[in-house]
Amino acid sequence: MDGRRFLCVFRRAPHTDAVLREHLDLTLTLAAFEQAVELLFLDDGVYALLPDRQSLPEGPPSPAQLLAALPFYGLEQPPLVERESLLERGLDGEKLLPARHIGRHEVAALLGDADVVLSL
Amino acid sequence: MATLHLVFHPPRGPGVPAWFGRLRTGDAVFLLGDALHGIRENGPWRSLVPPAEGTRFYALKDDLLRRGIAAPDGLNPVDDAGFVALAVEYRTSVTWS
Amino acid sequence: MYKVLVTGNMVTFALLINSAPHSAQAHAAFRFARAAVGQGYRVIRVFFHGEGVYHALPPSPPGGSEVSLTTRWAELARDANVDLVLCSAAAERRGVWSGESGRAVAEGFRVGGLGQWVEACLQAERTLSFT
Repeated sequence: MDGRRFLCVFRRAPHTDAVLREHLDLTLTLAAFEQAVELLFLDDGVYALLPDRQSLPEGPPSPAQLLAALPFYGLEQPPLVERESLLERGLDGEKLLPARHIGRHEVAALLGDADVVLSL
Repeated sequence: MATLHLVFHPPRGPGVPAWFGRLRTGDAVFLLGDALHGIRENGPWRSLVPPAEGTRFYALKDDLLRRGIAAPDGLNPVDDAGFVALAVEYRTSVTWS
Repeated sequence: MYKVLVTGNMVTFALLINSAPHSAQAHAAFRFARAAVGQGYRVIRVFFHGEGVYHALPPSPPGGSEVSLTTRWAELARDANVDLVLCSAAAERRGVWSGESGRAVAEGFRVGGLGQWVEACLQAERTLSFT
């Protein structure tokens, strides 16, 4: 099987059901199969990049905790985030988890360069 | 490489939707389900459909009929087989729900 | 019945369904698959993830006028040799399936892992997400 370039797009708010968790599981499986994977957060998905204010002992793992696991699966590059999505939500001045900021026109190029785009 | 954009969501306000800013020359847009409301007579997306050249727009005939929406110039109504033909023509697709 | 035409080097598809059976995405996915198969293309696998796992709930006894997508997928799978795979973790999380000996999924569907989706992405020439 040949390798392909995958782009996993996260565009839903992270605290609604298990969407972030499940899409991350899919992304990690791609990494486990040694595929080239980029993670891209845009639209409401950018809320996942807000760090925890306080860690709580109960409840499901926070988005920040889930994303902290990425390097252990070989995904060492921080995820990509779209600048315009942050601006539209007033998050441009906020402290965020490590991410590579890119513009909307660059997103268009990324979509074109990927072999498979999985957006949720 | 050109991308086929599958749009499922209706407009969430006036103005240009985010996915529109992520199109590249040669890409195509397929409006599905409630996304069709965007191109109603006074819908916010109707003016995005280029009457002549530029990004190609498509929709399912059934989706248009069901909602009583007349296709503006530049929007190509297709059947299910036409949908498949587009997925063959464009190597990658992205979904905006 | 969905006639399968003899094909040469035709494009192959893998479909990801992440939406519940009554969504526009779910209907579009089925119509796409049916049309693709009808034109002689091969849909190698449909992977049900997230809310999509509800497709595999066994349909309630007939009575309603509408044939469920679950039944229609099962027919398409049988006639055109489409592999319908459900993500085990997503199905378990939603109570659609519970372990090896537990609750059974609808006929025509099988439970698998995310690796089977990755495999389908690598095999198929086109991947479409109905999410």
